[in-house]
Amino acid sequence: MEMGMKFIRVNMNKKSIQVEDVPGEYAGLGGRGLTSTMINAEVPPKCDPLGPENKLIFAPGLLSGTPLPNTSRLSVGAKSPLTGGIKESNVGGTVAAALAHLGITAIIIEGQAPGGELSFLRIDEKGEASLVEAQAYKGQRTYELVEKLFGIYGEKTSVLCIGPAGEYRMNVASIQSTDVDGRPCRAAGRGGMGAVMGAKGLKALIIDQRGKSSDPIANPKAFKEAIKAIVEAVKADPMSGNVMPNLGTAALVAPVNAMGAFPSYNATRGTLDGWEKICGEAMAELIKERKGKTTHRGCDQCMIHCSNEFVGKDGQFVTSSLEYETIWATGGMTGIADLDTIARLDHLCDDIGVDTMSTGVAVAVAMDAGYKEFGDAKAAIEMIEEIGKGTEFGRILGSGPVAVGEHFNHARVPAIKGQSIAAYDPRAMLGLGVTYATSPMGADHTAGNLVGAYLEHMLDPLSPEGQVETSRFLQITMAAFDTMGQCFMANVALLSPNHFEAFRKVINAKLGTQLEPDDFPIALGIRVLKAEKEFNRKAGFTNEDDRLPRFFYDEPLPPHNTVFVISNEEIDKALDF
Amino acid sequence: VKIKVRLFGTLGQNISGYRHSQEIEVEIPNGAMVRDLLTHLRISETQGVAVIAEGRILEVNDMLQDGSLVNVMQAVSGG
Repeated sequence: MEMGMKFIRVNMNKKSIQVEDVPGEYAGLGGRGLTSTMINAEVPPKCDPLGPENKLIFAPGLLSGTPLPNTSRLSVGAKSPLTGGIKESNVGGTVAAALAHLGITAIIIEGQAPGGELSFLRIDEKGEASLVEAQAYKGQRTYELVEKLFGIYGEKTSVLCIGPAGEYRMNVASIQSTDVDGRPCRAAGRGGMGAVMGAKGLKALIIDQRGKSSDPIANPKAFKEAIKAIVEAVKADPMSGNVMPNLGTAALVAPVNAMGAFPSYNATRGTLDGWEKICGEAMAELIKERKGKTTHRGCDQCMIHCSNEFVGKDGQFVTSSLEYETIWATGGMTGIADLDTIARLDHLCDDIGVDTMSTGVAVAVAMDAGYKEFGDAKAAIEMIEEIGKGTEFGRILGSGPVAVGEHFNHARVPAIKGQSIAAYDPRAMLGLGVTYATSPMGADHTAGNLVGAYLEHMLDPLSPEGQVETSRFLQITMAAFDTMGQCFMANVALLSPNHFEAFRKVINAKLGTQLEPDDFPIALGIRVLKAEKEFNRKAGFTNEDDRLPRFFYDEPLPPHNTVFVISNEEIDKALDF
Repeated sequence: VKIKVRLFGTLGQNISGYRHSQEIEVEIPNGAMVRDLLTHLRISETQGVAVIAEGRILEVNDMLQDGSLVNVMQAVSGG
């Protein structure tokens, strides 16, 4: 068991806080492995996600807060109101390291505050937790909120918070996390974790960054030695060492469009007209001209610096970090090939506290149904403002793309288990379809993303061969790395047997264990996925939920004019443990 | 053969004054393959580079057709 590491359980009904030692059965787990295992063990699978029986769990990765770089991911877990299944949404920034430095393995929020009461959970320099009345902050957007909180609690503070969308308990509500510069611009976006937080009556977690109670490293000398190999691999990788610091994730706009797999105009075409105006290269040139930052450190202990600061024509900050999936959802899906509009929408989503992906897709579904024209930037801004204001239509949008489809009786809704796809059309990148269909999270961009495998010539995106196996391998591997708290950008530099061995040395030095080759990442990843699938089964999911929407099988996607062709039998093999 | 080329990622930085998405014309011998184009462009490392034409990722031994437009891109593993 980890010495001195603790769980903080907060009961929102009783306003009580209990501190307990981490039970033995959770040893060696952190991040997604911990949140998913606990939810499977403690949350009634058929409970109302917005009711008192659900639990909202915050867990830094097992290696968060250690000297290993790129480990500042915090996992947020609960039963999802968007999918009805288990959810882990992870986020960067500074919170994971701050919690780890306080010796906190997880914070578990239970129960439900009575009658619309709103609180902050404050964790001070010594790791003492207390609930603070927050009624005065009701309805506040995230940027204004964190500015006030820094004024009260000082700059050495990390904040996780919800905006109005979380208070409205909307399915697309995010939990926003402060970055290194104290802006609430990083999001645990997917799955409506903000709605669960709002339903609990929790407006923000306010965490002191000055903790000095980190879990000891079992063998510090070996740890120092072991992380060298990881650092070298991440530096040497062309993506994490070169492309990410120069262009960030927006570097994907060009290749995915060139491959005809960029779902555009609500996934009716695989290439966006004018994508060259919103690609990463265009964004980098624009940011440089305006003297913003094309590279920026968003998260604690990051050595990749994939973040950026987008500034307006006047050189003033608009948003950070403008990312590929956001550019796609708010630009590609809506047909808005304009970076200034996209940046404004990104800021708006962060400020209201909604997932840019689900929100952009919800807007796109409404446009496809004829509510507004594709490419109408003014309409997109107004629609998202409606979410923030909580108007009737705003609440439909905020319920996610499936609800929008039902509202307009419109069947072309690119969502699986209620969650929208990401920026890769499964008809032109077949393996992404396998991941979208089978991930216990619903359609997802990090759970098992094959785009790199295509660009590295490992398999043909349009041929069924190898797609199921590659999706399976990546889903397992990512579940294991998500347990460590390591960033996706570093994970993808470490997908070889040699690097797995190097990573096992890091874990062994941290925990004083002797992991066998099978233990990490494969056995750990399978253990996590099994727990997630078990929860979903108990919640009522079957293999029939692991299917793509009908139109992906029926409507050919230009320019390749192909449909999704992997059979259900093959799909069912992907995570058949 | 004359090939129209666009460079993406950080590859444009090899050519001074290159603006994003700009088409440049490259002349290479008849029968030249993707590999020869990369050599011509002084892109030595093939690891992490994808040459994409008409929506398809080409292999280094694929022959290039006169007048075709190719995008020379870098591998990225997800966003």
